[in-house]
Amino acid sequence: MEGQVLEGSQPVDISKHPSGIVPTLQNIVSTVNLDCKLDLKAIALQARNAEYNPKRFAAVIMRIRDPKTTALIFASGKMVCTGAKSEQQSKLAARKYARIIQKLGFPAKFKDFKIQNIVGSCDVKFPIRLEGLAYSHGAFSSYEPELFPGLIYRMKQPKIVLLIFVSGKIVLTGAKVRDETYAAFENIYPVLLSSGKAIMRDSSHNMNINDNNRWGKPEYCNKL
Amino acid sequence: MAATTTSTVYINVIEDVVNKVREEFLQSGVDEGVLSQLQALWEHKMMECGAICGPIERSSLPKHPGPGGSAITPVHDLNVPYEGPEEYETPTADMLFPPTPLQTPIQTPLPGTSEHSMYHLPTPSDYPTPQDSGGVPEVKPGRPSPYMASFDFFVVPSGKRKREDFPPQVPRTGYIPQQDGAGDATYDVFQSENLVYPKQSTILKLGKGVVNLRLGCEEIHALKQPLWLFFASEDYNTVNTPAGHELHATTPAVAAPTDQGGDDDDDEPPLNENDDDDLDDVEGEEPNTQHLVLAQFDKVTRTKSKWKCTLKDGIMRINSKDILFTKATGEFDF
Amino acid sequence: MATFELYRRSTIGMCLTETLDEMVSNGTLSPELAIQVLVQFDKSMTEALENQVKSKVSVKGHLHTYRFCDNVWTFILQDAIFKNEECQETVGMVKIVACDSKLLTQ
Repeated sequence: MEGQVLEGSQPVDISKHPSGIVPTLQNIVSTVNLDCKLDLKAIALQARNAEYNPKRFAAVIMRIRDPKTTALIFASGKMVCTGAKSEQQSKLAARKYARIIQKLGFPAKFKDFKIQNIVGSCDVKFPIRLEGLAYSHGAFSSYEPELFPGLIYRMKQPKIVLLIFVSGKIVLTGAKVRDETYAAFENIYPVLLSSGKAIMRDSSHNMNINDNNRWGKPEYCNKL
Repeated sequence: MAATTTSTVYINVIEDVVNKVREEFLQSGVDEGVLSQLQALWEHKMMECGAICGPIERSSLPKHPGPGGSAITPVHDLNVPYEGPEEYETPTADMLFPPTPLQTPIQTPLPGTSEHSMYHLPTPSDYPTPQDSGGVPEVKPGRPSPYMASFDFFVVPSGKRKREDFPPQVPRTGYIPQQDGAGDATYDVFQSENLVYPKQSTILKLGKGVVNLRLGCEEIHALKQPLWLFFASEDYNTVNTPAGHELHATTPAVAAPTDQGGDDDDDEPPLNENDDDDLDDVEGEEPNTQHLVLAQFDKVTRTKSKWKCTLKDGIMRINSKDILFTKATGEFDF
Repeated sequence: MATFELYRRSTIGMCLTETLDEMVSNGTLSPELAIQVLVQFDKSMTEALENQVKSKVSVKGHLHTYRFCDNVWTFILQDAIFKNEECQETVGMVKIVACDSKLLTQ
């Protein structure tokens, strides 16, 4: 167990997640080329759980329950799969949609599957002074509370966009591989600690021995 | 005017339709008696399936134009093309309802329309009790097949018989269980099955009560279709699709074989039965899918898996009962 | 007046369709007039539902399948409960077909 802590019941690889926090993947967007022209109306009429309203959107919207996902299916044969919680689930779902299309009589293949975006989120469980962060990291930050309550942080390396909220909730988007999501969070975590609002006072009341999210925080505070 | 019961509304609708097409019938040179025949037959069928309760009390006199009205022998306007029978056969009660021992016709109290007396509106007791419609009403020879017979899937027995033609281990999806790990071998089987039994497979699914969605939209525009079509399967796990879709349905056999994996750059396996979405297994579902709601939607919204809809002006056939509504709200979880 | 052919699939619509079918096939009625009757039925049924029906219904159930195509929603519900002022009905499976009401008012 050396180098590992528990987040929830899962062991956390501390070398990869020094913060002790592993962002949860919330949504995977993938694309695939079925490599055949599709008759969207025929699909909408035959497949289950399909919506097709060409006046509003030029794709069939289809859903399956497992993995719980939504697919956008275009006449060109291109397909977008959203909603999966992992890369494998996204691929599995995309293959299921492709198979459904195939069974409806189209010579669907499964070409050029690609993860286009990974959205993760986590909670550092302490409040963050967004004004301070916007000031100290002005080059990367955009914070206009009258327009949007979160701070938009455009990290350059890895190229990830983070939405940072006062509550300590963080959303990370733009990754093609999950390691980018993880790296981006590890990059921002020390910054957040330094922008924490009266860190110890505000968060200590709900701190407990099993709360690994705060593991190592003093260390990073010291580093900063 | 607020009609209290479904039956009353139906009677009003029948009367309204008959009154409003009368002009066109007369203009087309069709004997008024034909219209009366239509009304009598329509009402007869409605009573037979329990949708209206007799005896019908006329809320108003039929609106007959002019003195003498329909009593005038219609003259076929030669300027109007009409492809109906050249000789107008005066309908008789026998034509309408070939006599059965059960029938005790009573005269329809239609004042002012003396020739209507030849049409007999049956009393409710002349017909199978509508509430019995859970069972298959017997089809009387020489009589139109009762509507409810359609709803009760009189085709099912043949479907069941056909089903036994298949090996008993054939699962619902129509797939032959893979015995040797070679997935593509099964496609030949589908294909031949599909070509040989396109229609049977539909009936087969009927017996399982899978509701058809395939016809969902188009069927509305159909003037008339056999009712069982509305309840055929739409299971996309089934390669067997009804006649008319055979060409489509056989294509996967061409698309799927393993040797096509070569055109993928990565080592992606070709799509196969492992990619089938089998969560929506309809096995064990209630085969009783004749319940139907026809309505208009005002709004349909979805939040995650919660669906909400507002409907209006609906006709429901639920548990063999017709229920009408002006508004309905729906809350469904997907 | 725009109408839907939707209600032809109801009990009353099916009974009418059968009636017309019989009368057309035995030569009593021309197909053209039969269609006129159906069109009039579409109108009369729609008007009757608008003007003569007051009942409100609520439906709850598991959405087994849905579809939206050609401005028609189709829902297949499992274990659906229908309630109105007078009664409550439960069915194992029911199909709902609904046309866009906006198409009539346009």
